[in-house]
Amino acid sequence: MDPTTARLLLGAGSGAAELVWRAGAPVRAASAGLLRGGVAVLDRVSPGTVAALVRRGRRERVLLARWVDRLLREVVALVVDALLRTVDLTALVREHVALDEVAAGLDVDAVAARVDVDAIVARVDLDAAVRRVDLDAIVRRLDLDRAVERVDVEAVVRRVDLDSVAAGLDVDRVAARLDLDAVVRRLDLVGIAREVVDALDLPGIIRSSTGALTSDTVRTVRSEAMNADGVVAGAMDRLLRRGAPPPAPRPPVLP
Amino acid sequence: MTHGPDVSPAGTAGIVTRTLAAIVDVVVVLVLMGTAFLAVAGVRFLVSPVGFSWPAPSWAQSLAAAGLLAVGYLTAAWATSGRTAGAAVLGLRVRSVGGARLGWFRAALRAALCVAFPPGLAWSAVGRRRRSVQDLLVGSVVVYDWVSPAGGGSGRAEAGHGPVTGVEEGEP
Repeated sequence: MDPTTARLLLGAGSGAAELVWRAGAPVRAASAGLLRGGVAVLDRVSPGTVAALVRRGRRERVLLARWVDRLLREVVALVVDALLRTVDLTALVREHVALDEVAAGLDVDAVAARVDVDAIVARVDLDAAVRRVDLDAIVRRLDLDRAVERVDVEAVVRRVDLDSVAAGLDVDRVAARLDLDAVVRRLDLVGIAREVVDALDLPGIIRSSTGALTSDTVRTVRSEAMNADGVVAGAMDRLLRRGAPPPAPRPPVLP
Repeated sequence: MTHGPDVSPAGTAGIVTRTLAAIVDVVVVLVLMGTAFLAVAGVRFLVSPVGFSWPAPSWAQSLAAAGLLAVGYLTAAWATSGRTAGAAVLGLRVRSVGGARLGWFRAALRAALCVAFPPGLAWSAVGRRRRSVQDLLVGSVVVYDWVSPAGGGSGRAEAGHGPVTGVEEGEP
């Protein structure tokens, strides 16, 4: 159907409807008069019946209004749902709404001033929120090496007043809290001693020192004592005139 | 009296070496005496900690204890290795005249004689075979028994463990 034909049909329909509406005007007036007259007669004949009917009509009207309201709600919900399914609201807003102008008109300071941050924070259950946080997963995702590389440790140390920190330390209390027995129990003293002894090579030192003692001092003492024995024996032989003494013993040596 | 030793006089230890060894052994016995004194004191303390007092032995008791300790020490040393601590330092060894090790009996007899009559050692300077009175009575001989780590020459001392042939028998 072309637009001209559609407009023609629309104009013809509109004219016919107006004609019918005007032609029925006398009928409407008569009907209204009859209705008012009937009501007046009935009110005069049986006012109780009229009052009862009025009450009933009021009640039915209320019920009807509720029913219509419910019906409209369901219809509106269905319509809106169908509309939202059909229409891309985001695209519609982007296309037809001047967001920049809207944003420019917003008084953000006034909005922020109206926000009661304390009340919001008071309503937040921080414990529950913290319990829901998976700290392990967060730590796994952290690249600590990169973070540490960016830290200027020297600058941090320069800002720290180590003297005041050390002056505030109660070394006696710290030492009193130390469980030295537990520390010593955890130490493998036997293993450490064994490692030290292995590193020192004590047997080697003892061997070398003993050998040096044997080869130097003791050998000298033995040789000198042996020579002294020979001298004493020779002197006694000469004193007792027993002839030539036996040959002096040679210091025995290793092969 | 025993037969003469099967060792050369030159391989038998003389008075000087043996005296030095005896001095070392006296020191060892003194150390043993001190140890025994501390042991007795420790036992007394364990038995009666409240009424503890250091032992105060008389001279006779001390001498008797020293004699017993010396006899035991010398007997054990001569009967097992043939050398006391002093003999080990000076490179000496006590053997029978045949070159064998002294038995326990002869070692104990020699120890008792040495403790009872120390001047008997002096006969090793007078006698041609360098044997003390105790050696003559027990049939023992004290020989050099050590080796030098340097130089050439024979292994053991000329009067080694075994009998040495060609040695005269009889009293020095």
